[in-house]
Amino acid sequence: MFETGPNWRRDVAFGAILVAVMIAIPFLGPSRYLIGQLTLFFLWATVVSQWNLVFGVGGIFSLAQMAIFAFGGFATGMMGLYLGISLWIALPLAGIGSILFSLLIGLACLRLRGPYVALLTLAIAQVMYLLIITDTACFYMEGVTCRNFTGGTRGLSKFGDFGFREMLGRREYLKGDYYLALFLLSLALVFSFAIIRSPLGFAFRALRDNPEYGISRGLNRFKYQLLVFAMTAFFTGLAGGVFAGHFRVIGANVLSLPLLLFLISMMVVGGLGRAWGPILGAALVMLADEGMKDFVEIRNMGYGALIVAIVVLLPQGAAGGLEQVWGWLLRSLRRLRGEPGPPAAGRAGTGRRE
Amino acid sequence: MDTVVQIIVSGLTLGAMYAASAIGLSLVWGAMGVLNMAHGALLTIGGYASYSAVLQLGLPWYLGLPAAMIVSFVVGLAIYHIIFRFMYRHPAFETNVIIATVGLAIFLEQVTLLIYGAYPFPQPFSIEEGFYVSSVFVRFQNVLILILAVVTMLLVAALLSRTRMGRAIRATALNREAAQLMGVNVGRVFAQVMGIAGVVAAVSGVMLSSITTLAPTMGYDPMLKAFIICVIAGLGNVPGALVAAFVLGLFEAVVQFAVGVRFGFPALLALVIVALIWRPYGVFGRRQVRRV
Amino acid sequence: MSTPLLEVDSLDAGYHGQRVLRDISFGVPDGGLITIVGPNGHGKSTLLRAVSGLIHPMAGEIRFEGKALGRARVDQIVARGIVHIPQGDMIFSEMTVRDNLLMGAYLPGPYRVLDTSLKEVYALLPRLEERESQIASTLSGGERRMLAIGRGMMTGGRILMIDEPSLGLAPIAIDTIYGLIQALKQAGRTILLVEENASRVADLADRIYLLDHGQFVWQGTAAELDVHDEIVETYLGG
Repeated sequence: MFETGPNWRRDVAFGAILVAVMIAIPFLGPSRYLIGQLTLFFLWATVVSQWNLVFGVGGIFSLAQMAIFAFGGFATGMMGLYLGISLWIALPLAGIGSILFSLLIGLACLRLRGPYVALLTLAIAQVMYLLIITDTACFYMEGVTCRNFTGGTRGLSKFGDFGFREMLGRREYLKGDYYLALFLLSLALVFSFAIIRSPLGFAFRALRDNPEYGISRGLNRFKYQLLVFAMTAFFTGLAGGVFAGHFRVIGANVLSLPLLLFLISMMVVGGLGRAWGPILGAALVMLADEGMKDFVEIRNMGYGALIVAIVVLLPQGAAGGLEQVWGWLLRSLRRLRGEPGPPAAGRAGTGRRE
Repeated sequence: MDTVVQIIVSGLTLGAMYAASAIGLSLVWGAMGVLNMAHGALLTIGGYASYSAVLQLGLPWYLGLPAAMIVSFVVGLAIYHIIFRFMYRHPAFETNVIIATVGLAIFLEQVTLLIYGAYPFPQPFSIEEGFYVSSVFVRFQNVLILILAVVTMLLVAALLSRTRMGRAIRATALNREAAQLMGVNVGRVFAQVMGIAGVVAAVSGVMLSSITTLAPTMGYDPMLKAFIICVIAGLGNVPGALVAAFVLGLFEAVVQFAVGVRFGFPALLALVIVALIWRPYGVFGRRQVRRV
Repeated sequence: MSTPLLEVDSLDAGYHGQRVLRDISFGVPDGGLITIVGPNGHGKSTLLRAVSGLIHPMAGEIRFEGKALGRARVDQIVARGIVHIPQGDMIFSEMTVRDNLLMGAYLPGPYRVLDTSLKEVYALLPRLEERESQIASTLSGGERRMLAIGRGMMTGGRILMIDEPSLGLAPIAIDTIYGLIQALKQAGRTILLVEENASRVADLADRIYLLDHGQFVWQGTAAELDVHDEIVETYLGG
């Protein structure tokens, strides 16, 4: 459940501190590895924050988020490669393209009931994956080598990057991508908070908590869902584009099931529909991933088990769990000081709605 | 002529396998109102169980199938007891199950990978001999698959319509609360449904791997196709799923022959999307009252 | 008077933390017919749902044959002999009439005497036998109600709780249904009947309870009800 009202100052303060710390980190002389991992963290957190809006706020069971991400990445790369334009121009165009792509998916899927949406969006992502890895037709010849339109199993490459290499030099260029990704995440977060607090957010809460009432008030579920699906596709697609530019390659592997699971686990660990869930979830899962680096074989097994355990044992996710612990601490403190205080008011009460 | 025979043989075989995959999925949906994304993993487990029973325990090849059915039955029951049992009273059951079973699917796939590795073992439950129809060689295996699928479906249909357990499953699907008021223990019905889904999945997993090979991810593709079939038929509609499975199997075979193998699935999906824009609750589906 | 078959003792119940019923106490003697009357939305169905275990009481206790039900599951409560025929029938619409009746005899006990109880139901409700193999959703409103009650009879419980049997039916169908209830009473069945309107049930009921805003405001026999015209006027609209 999203919190509304009195906590927005806390959210803004927390967000500002977080961004300030992240801006400062490259100046503290971190390793290239850390910079790279944080860049990836920003990108995944962006994707998950938008997914969270789709899933947790919009109530859309979309599993097509990575398809949109891949679309943004491939669109950016293809425009760079085939049209020869700068990725800086390709990126926003890819973002707009992602909106159109998501509208197509949305028009096909969103009129359906929840589980059907999950089925169909997963099938769409899988078809994209299959079409890319089975792509063997020659699109152009590079010397004597045949190149496919989508890059096939090898992935699409040779479309360049964001130019930080020339600007900042080989040693420092990663920081350029780092700030770009951080900027993107900040925008995506501001956007998601704006959505949650906007009339649109209220419309969604009404539709989710009481569909009959919402519909009777003239709220058109399909229209609102399509709107949120398309808007979030913009940032998801941009994240795909930045991903492609950062790694200088984009392939079908971004559509793989383990990666989908990796990102779902971020969302679930963070807590579905919770404002800070995506950041918390992405951070926790990436840290856990670091810890499991040495156990490659059982890594995906670990994610699988983790998701099951969280859904079964902690359906509100870590953000929900933290809130409960936090509320419990506050109440215990008050009790220790002998203050009566409201028993379950404010954030302590948001988790359970009884 | 030969092409027609080939398309029919291939289409019927595909349809039979899809039907067996779709029935399990559709049953679980119908009775519990949830989507089991780990259904493909049940297929895979069935396929490998048959392999282990024959090549590692040394049982005769024809015992591979019963062994697979037993193992997948147990895994199906386990999924209920370890996961669903704790969730089905929760209001967000529908959403949570999708996420939890995606996690479970990956978990089971990785366990399979850890035990068997990625080597594409052949399925021992298979007959290599065959016969000719005009000049097309048809393996007995294809005939066996068709027979198995039909028998499985008849058995499931008989179970649902003629037994006390089947009636309770149908009653629970139609009105969970009323079924409880008749003394039905809903949790037990769910466990039974998961067990049956496991058995049916094992049949389709063994059949599938007998015409391709075993692979830890082999259940994924038929599961997606089973999804598509259920979407066309309307989830929970078992007879509709049968018709849809054979129609789509034949359609895919035609596309594969006419356009190319890689376009089979995309063409199916395109067809489904068009069908759904036309009829959002499935081609045979009735507009269902939303479970609250 | 001996201990009632069903005893409800200071019951509070409701949904989502909101109390609908407060401090409800009454008993249903073996072989008796007790009626609870009151306007819609004042907790009559909630009361039956609490007894059959579809919701758990917030306070108080429900005893059956002297033993507390506690937090038993619905199917366990049915197995002990409490049959709840819910409002709106809730028949299994896509199953045949016969399969619906067979579902009534789902539990092992009733299943053993299936043939006897099926004959009994068909004897009382010959219409159901005529339509045995018809899909239940094709029945008329009155036939559905018969099916719901027949299905409840198949369960063979010691007490039948019937929720608004006259709801939404044409007067002639209501007559049939009340004829059936009278027959059940004469056959010695214990019945807890809930209705919005007292006029129909007054002649049948051993005792009437009036439920208003979640509390009993009056109780007595039909004869006493006749004396208190003002109650009839205030609560039951004459």
